[in-house]
Amino acid sequence: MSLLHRLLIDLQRRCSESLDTWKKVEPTLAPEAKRYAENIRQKLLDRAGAHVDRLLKDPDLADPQFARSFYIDYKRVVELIQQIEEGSLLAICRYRAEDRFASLLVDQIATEIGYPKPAPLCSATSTQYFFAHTGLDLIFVPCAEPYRLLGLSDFYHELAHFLLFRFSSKFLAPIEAEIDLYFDQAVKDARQKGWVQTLIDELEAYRKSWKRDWMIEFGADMVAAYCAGPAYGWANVRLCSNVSADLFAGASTHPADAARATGIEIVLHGIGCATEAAEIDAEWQELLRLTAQMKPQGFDMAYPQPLLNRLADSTVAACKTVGLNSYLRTRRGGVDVTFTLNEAWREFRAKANSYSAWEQNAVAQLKSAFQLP
Amino acid sequence: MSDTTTLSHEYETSASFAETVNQAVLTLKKARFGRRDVSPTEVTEARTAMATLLDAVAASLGAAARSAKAVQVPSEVLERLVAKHTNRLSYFQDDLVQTAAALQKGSAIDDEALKVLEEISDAADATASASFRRLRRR
Repeated sequence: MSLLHRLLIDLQRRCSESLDTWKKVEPTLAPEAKRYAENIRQKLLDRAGAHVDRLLKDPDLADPQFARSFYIDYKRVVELIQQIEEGSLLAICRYRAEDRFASLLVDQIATEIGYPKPAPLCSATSTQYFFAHTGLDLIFVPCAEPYRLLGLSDFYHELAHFLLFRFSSKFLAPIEAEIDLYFDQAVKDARQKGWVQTLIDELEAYRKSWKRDWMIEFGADMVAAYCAGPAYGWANVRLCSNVSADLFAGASTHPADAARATGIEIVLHGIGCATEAAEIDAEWQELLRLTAQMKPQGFDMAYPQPLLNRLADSTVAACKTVGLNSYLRTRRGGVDVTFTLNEAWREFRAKANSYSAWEQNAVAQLKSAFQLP
Repeated sequence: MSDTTTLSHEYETSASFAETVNQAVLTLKKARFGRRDVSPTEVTEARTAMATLLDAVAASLGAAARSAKAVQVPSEVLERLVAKHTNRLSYFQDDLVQTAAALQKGSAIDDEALKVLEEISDAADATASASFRRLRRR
């Protein structure tokens, strides 16, 4: 028996064990988690198991001419199973009160903003701040965060990642076209002005970063600002104050925080929140003074304002195309989450000392609206 | 808002691309070696899908191909192909365009065409695997 054949038998056992655990847990779950578990089981786990069974039965499995293709096939399935075990299975096996509250919040946010798909499930088990698993329809949240309203507008950013992934032709393709348009012109201008080759190479490196990672983060920020309104801008200042090292430098897949703050500000202006955008910018300037950081030379070459403006236009247009509601359209009052998160920031900024009691009351009202104890 | 979301997005895109390419290549290989567990419809679909993809790759690498924007090819896949063919990129572009034309016309899939198809599948697989590793070993 070949290595690949044995690997497939091992994978078949893993699929079967995960499915056994899944079937024990699924009936005990709260309704929203049960729906999620049923969907992922049918859509991914059952299909992965059937795929492995099919591969094991393929008459050409032992033929060396096909071995490479079968191995590549195996790799994708084993990666999927690993992700399910570490993501969805973990989420449903330990689905607790804080996971439930976060999931119902996201479900409510999805309804308010017109998110055109079933809302993802949340798991408050993250050690990496908020993050989304787009393939598993999961959002991971730090375990202490679900009841802290000041940071919860990050949910809009994570929801935006799902939208960017699933509607990439509406969101990312136009953004990519804008990026190429901008950098084609920038490189042409640079050559006409006689720039040295190293600077032109730098422009091309920025184009690559934009197209590879940055457009996704900027896009998600802009969708979040469009839907959550000023609360997202305030939360961004708070987050950057807490975790940023250099506000003008990118980190790994993320563009510089200062450029992201500008992107959020442009969208807030665009949706009619100019006053709040100016207040958020004033607070951002205060953060810059606190950190004694200044915009470095070359920053505008990496993050040109005209490109950010075009990106904002393109993202807002895509939001409208997929039917998302802007902040001003969702702002209705009562226990609506978008309204509550913005009210939380208004309250915190006006009365920081007594905010804690206000937040406890607001969380209690949300729990009551979700019929949670 | 951590890197994980972007890495997850990247992985899903590259894995889906690699899976689609590999399935098409496997179908065409089976057709090439006369296997009967692939239907004529599946073979036709695989031919069309790979012809479109090869044209898109060729266009992205600078060749004059039929369609430039029909398929989104992950940039890392293109980078891997460019890195591998740095010294003979124009020949590789010709191979892509010729293989795409042969697939489109329904010509027999010879060893040369198969080699080109496997190269694309290998680059897509390497990209997905690297992306998965980045996602798990931050």
